Amino acid sequence: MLAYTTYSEAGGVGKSTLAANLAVADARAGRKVLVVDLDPQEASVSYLLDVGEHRSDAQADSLVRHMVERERAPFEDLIETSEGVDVVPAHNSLEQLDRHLSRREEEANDFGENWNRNVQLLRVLRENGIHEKYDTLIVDPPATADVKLYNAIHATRSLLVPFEPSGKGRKSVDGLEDLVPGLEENLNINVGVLAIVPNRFKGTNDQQDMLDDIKKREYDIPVVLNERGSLFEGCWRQQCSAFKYIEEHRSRKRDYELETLDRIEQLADHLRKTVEAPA
Amino acid sequence: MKSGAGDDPFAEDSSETGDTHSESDAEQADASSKGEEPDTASDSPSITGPNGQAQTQALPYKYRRDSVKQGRNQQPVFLQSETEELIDETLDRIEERFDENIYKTDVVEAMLVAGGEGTTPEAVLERWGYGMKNR
Repeated sequence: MLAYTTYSEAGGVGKSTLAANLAVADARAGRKVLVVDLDPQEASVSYLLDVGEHRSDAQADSLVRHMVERERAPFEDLIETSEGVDVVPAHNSLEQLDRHLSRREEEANDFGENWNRNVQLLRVLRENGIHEKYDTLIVDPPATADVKLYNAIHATRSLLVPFEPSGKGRKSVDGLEDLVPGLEENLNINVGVLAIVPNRFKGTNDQQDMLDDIKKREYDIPVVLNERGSLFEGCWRQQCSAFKYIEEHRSRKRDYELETLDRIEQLADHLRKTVEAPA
Repeated sequence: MKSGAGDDPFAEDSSETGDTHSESDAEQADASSKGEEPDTASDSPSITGPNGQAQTQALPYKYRRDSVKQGRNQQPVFLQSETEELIDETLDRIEERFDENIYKTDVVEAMLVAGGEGTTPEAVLERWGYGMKNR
């Protein structure tokens, strides 16, 4: 199974947009895809893929309940499907995930058990045989470095890093290099960066310099995504992937937008090959 | 951190011993271990290697597992408070004797096994790989 977390320290760099579109690209390639949305913000991958109608129902079962072993229903019942992609949608209680996990951890420790708050997503996914049911797992946590991000990285071990060629984007890659080694040591895992994906590239000199700078580092940069404000804004407005948006909401096909779809598909294909190299 | 893919988190022997607490005796849940039988003898079990191939290891239980719960099933046990005190005293005594930290989970099971076998918890823990540095 190809499993990765979309990581960005800075918000608003197109992380959820990329997660949703890569998920749809994989589903269109015939793969079984699961997206886990850990971001409680309203503008998350759940919103983009138009799922998560129970997110504000405090009584509804949620991933948070499963992570603290207080689930109310089978894991499968959490899943909603959109454009061929299975999604575990965000729930408002994710905002309190740290508190819930801490309490559960304290309680476990009081009973002499040990229970680590940062490994619960992987436990839930393993217990539910996700690696046997899916070909691709994409976890989309919020940009903040907290228990949601740690659970995401622990559960996938591989990262996909959207990079906005700006001061903000560069800080994000530096932040990654600060965060991950500590996390690897604490959780005793090895983390890999599958790819860095320059996004919203407009080709200005400044941006070109930043792109060149990031290319000097050792990471894989399989594609560069150009600025497609109109396309991706349309996706958020219509709550769908760029694939569906162009098919259903564009009366006229624009070559540069089709090229963007093509690059997303190339990226999806590249990620599959990175992890699932032919024997 | 490296370029490329990280560990396979869903591999059976995926490393799970990490902990974000400062306590040295921190254990953690390991979902992959559920359903495996505890292996109390020092025989050579087969485990699955990182690429799915079978590997034979003769390491004692303590060194073979990725977490203290691996190879164990969780059982609810009802204990009298005197027994709980006895567990704590036994843990203290054996930690002092072996001069190392010992998981309470190991001590509790060692006390059960020793009782059944007619040996001592120390003997059982040694078989599982504790106390090696004093041998």
